[in-house]
Amino acid sequence: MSAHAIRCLTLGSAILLLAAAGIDGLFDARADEISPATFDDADLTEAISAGSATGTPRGIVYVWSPHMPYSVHGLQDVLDLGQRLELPVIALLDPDADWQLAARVAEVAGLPGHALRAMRSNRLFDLGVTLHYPTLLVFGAGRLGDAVLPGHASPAVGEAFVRAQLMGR
Amino acid sequence: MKRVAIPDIPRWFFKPLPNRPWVAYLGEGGNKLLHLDSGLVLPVPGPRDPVPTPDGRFISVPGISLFATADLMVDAHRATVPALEARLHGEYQSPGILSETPERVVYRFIADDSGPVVRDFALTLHDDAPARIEALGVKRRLCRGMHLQLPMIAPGGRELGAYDVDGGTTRILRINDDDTCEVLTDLGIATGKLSFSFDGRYVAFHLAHREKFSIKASQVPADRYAHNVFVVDRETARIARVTHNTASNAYYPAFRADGTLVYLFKPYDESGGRFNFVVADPAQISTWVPLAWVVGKCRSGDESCAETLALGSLRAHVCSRNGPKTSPATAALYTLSLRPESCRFLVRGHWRQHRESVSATLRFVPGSQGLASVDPEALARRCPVGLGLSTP
Repeated sequence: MSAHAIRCLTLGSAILLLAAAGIDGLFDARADEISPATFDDADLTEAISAGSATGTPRGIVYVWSPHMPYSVHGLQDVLDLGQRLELPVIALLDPDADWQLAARVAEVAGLPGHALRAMRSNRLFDLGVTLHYPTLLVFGAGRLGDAVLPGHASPAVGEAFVRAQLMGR
Repeated sequence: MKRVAIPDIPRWFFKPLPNRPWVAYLGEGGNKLLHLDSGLVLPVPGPRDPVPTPDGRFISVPGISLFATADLMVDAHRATVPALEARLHGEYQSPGILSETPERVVYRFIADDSGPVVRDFALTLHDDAPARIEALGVKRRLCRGMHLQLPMIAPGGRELGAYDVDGGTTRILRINDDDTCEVLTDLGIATGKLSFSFDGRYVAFHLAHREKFSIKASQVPADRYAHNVFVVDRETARIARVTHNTASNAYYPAFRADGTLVYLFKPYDESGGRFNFVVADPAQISTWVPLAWVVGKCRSGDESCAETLALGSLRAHVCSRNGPKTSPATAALYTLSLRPESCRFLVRGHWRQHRESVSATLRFVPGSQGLASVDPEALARRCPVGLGLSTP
């Protein structure tokens, strides 16, 4: 254990160190063998700039969770919206989701495989996309929109939000 | 504080019964009730979102169908037919009570149907047993002219909390008699769904933040996403921390009638920990700071604000390896996590080394101009006098 860690232990991080050392009874032993692919800031930058290169510098980001049923149902609406508006949809998984549940829910709901990438973008996180699922936002002109839409929205509300964001509101 | 293991994988949405030791939640296979003392699990009809009424008499599911809580307790398998139908289309239904006598209860339900909608219902009681329910008028749209998401009503039925899409912050609004809404409080930050205490004085919610975190010297620090529970005292405009996670997550706190609240706790992935419901009592929290400090609104000349933020920033410099990038708001939240003795140890041992960097980090905060010259003992006097509740 580093001196750095010891200092922090005195500041209340003891539970984390105990858990890491396997000392506790605080947590049950369980290790998942599989884990989801991730989508980080580099992926986000690439997605936005790739869109610019192909002449469609716009798209929708939709963060969903298998722990929030409306976010599962809403994904198909957003995929339809993307198709109608000719916008790519980047569907991302709640980073704290139970991965096995996510895989099971995605299979039952017929979600596309790319929707199982876990959201690990700090830029998106800082916009509050993990406060509630689903959360939808838009990118255009090489940058992220300045507003997010948390919570289930009807197709009409979702479309109005996307159009308003694309128009720079 | 009490911690209860959840026997399956819960969805994030749950609500405690207001006056009994049960939590209604959606788990594997459908809605359920979990007894917080015995661990007994009972089935509840409906595919999602079981929400108790503030009197605990019913559990509602979207639609809105009302199931008598007492019937569910006696024979949950038979209670598949709703006791009453309230008829309000939309998601995220939440109930309040506008008035209550021994013969009549007037419920107000709101839901989200392309924006907040409301409908009131009168329940007639005979010998304290539900006899019939009737709608008092039609469904109405609430808060016209506002772009609100995730509306949640207060138990008293005359206030709601919601996320304002245009402003990007969570707000508390009064519901006027003409169904317009008036902003009472703009929390100044985006939060998870609000829960109101039954007396209306407090609201609870979760916030998200990230930390550079490493538990092994050889490990490259990675950003961990953490969610913590906070309570705001509306009377004093002060905020307190209920949980102190740096990697785990606490979600969706919800008040019970006695002032305690229940939140969902998920240990961080690598721990292999189980999901839990945790019962906490905000009355036990001793460290509160002005809400304005957390949203970065120190007043000019208010050195106590800047110095309090410096404590959290110092903690970030020493512990998280992300100190120079820590925002004033996050620094304020860190301060709320410091134990008094650890805080004094931190200041006396590390302030001289980091004060220039801390001052630079907080240079845009009013009142921070003289921060670098503050004596360690003077700064130590800003340390919290007590800690919020500790994570189980």
